[in-house]
Amino acid sequence: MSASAALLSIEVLDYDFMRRALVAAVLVGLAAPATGVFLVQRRLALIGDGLGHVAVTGVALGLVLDRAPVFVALITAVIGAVVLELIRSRREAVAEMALAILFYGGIAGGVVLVSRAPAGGRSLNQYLFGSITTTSTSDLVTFGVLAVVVMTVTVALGPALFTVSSDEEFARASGLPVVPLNLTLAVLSALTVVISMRVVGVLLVSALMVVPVAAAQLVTRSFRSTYLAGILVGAVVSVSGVVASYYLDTPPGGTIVLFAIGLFAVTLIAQALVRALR
Amino acid sequence: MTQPEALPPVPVVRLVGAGFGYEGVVAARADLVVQAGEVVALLGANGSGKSTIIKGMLGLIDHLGGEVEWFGRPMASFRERWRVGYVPQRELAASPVPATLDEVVRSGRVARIGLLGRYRAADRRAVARAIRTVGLDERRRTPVRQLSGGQQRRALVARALAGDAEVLVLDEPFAGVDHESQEALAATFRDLAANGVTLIVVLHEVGPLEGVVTRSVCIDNGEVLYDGPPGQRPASMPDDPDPHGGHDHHHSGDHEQRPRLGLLP
Repeated sequence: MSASAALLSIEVLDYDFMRRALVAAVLVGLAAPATGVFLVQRRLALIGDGLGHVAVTGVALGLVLDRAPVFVALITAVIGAVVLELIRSRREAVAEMALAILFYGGIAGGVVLVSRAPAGGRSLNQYLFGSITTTSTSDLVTFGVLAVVVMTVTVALGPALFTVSSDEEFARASGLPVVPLNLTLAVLSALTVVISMRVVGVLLVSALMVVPVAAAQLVTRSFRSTYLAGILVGAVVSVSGVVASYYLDTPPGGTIVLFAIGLFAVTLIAQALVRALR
Repeated sequence: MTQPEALPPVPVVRLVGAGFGYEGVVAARADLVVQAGEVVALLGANGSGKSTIIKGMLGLIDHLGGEVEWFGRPMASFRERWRVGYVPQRELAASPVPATLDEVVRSGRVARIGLLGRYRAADRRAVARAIRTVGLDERRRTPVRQLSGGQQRRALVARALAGDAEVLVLDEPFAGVDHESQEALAATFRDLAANGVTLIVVLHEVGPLEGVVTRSVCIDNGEVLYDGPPGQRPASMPDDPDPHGGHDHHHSGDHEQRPRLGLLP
């Protein structure tokens, strides 16, 4: 490690809030692409956005009721995910419309509800745009538990989730419990959204689920390697984004997502150059 | 003391007045019994209902009355789904996330290993065997999106075989496949049939499977119009869906007892 790198890392780690922010970044960086890879495979890459908006209603409700906003957001996001999946499984033709209604209803409900909250809209901002540096120790415990659940379930159910995400009709013909598996993935998405919203904000939640996977698939050949590379990219851009935001004095959420998009763009250009040189 | 009579063989699949459709509306109704080892071609024009019948018998669309049994068990309580391999009428969907041929074929084994199961040596051997059967041994590590259309169809057959299926249900396996790949697929089906695998194949025409098909079932307007040896057809069929069908193939099952409509001499 170079002297300057050592200096940087020591300074960042001097502060409790930065240590907690980095742990949160690793947890989110691992969990978001672990769910995202299955959503991308199912062509539901933007569902995270819809669930993020539903979570806004939950956060606002938590603020109005003076109850833990993260917990209330978790409940509303899970309910939203389950409702959306049940609509999709019965009436696929209207699924996109249902997602749009959920999307707008979530944000509208959140905006109206938060106007009744004692602190008004100020508290909502940290959920809309992320506020990783205000992560508390109890937040870390919640994020840790949720991240472990997400990672464990995606690994344990990996073969079945891959099958149902790749070809739902074949999965049904094989006798797999398609609806429960899709509901499981929907709930995992809701959990991931709630963990990620404190880090990157609900407006960028989907980016952390999708962009690391998009970057990984540029260089991988198998689903397994895309899963592993996706969570590696997610963790690296999350940590480097938090560190960079400290020195550049930029919002961590946006910085993380720009790092992820930058990595995607660099990989894409490098790949094109390699092809051109062959 | 007399010997007890041998029990009749349990059919692979048995449909009795089975109706299938969408959103409660019956689109096709069929009586059909297929015995082990048969190669049954479901023939008919586009929109005749042949794909509806196989999707219905697999539980992929609404089951609207009548009976469906797999290996003697009602479809709702038939748990050994790996005994039936399904090959849909399409290439592998162009997936946004890469997956190797090995991974895709392995997904045909999931019903065997169970929801929380892991792939073991026996599963890996079965996957390798299925890939070898369709002649794609050298492409195991290739992302499926880099395979040609014909190779992707063969990959779907391998996926259906990976669970050691005893019967394959194939929906138009030759549609959109070039002549060379059709020959390769037909050779695979010939070998499978010779090894006792039951085949139920939706086809527009017997074509590449001439000499392999042991029985033709002609569908029109959601009904079975003819069920018998290939090469014959009902006069009421709108066009000849079986122009190359062979003759004099043995077939079994109780379809011979059913009335045949307007058979040509």
